[in-house]
Amino acid sequence: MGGIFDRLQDDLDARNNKKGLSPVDLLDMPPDLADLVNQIIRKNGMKLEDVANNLNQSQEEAKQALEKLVDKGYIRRVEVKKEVWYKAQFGRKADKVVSDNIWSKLDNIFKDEPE
Amino acid sequence: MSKIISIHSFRGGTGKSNTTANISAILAGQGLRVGVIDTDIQSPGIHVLFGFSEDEMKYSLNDYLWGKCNIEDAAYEVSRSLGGSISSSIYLIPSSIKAGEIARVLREGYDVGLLNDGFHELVEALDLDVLMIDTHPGLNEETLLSVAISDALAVIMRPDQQDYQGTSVTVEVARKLNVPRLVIVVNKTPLVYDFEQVKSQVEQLYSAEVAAVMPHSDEMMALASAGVFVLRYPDHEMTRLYRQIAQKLMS
Repeated sequence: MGGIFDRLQDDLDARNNKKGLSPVDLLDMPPDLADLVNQIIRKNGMKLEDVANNLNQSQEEAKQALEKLVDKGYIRRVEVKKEVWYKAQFGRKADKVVSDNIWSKLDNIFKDEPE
Repeated sequence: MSKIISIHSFRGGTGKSNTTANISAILAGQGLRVGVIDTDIQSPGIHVLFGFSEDEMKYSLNDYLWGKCNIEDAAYEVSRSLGGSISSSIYLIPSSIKAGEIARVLREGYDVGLLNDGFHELVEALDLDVLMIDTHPGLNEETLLSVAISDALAVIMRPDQQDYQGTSVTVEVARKLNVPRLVIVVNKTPLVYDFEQVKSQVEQLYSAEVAAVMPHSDEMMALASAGVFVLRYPDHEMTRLYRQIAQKLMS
């Protein structure tokens, strides 16, 4: 396969991101990869042909590249009106790591608050 | 084509929410349909400027993120109660101001993808021309997402050494995220400063356009978030500067 993803393969392999994408990931991705993922986020999904046009690659090459990102858990396939779109696969925002004691104290404070 | 604009600052107290509310009012005054979403989930506040009270808030952004409602169910038309010359609509999507709900978001987190979907669904469902995002200061996930999806970003800073340093971080991040349009707004500038010199220094320091150097304003301080400044003072110099910022963000 040609194109930018050959160069990014090592980086993708090094990332074992099964928990999904965080916006923070965009800051330390290689620029080409960050740019593609960012465009997919900004457009809230892209079709294969749009990605191929964007990367100036054939659809086959673009598909291989996208499938690698799917495997890594950064994006997912979504079917919209019988067409496949690629959308960002965000993870859940990390819970704050603080002592359970703090949360139980907050629960006690707020337990009488109306829904 | 609709536009997403984020208003951000590295530090708190720079006037983000005031800038967001005033620019929203100006754009709505130009006949644009404007959405304003408060992504400052940890310390929400922009609803106060729009005179929107907790009692009117059936659903909030928090409810959407917890799957309790659609994002448009948490949107409230606030322009009618503002007065002034607004010929179109402003829809506010507030964050919850209940302490327990803020604590729950902090504790449990939320699905960031849902927030991204929400931004796009809002634009479509409310047929918005502009979605304004009022962010939490500093860098966190919702802020980075807001910046990443924005067509334009205004970074607000005061002429203060701590702000200078923090702004450079924000500008660097915005460049990394390829935000198509980045402007800086210098706010709360003491009147004794040379405004042209401040503008030139800031532009040189960040290699970015300064959309306006806003003076410290006693009228703004006296208004104390009890309204939207440009609607109360349509002929004030600050209002002219807010129009200038709006124009630069939309250009």
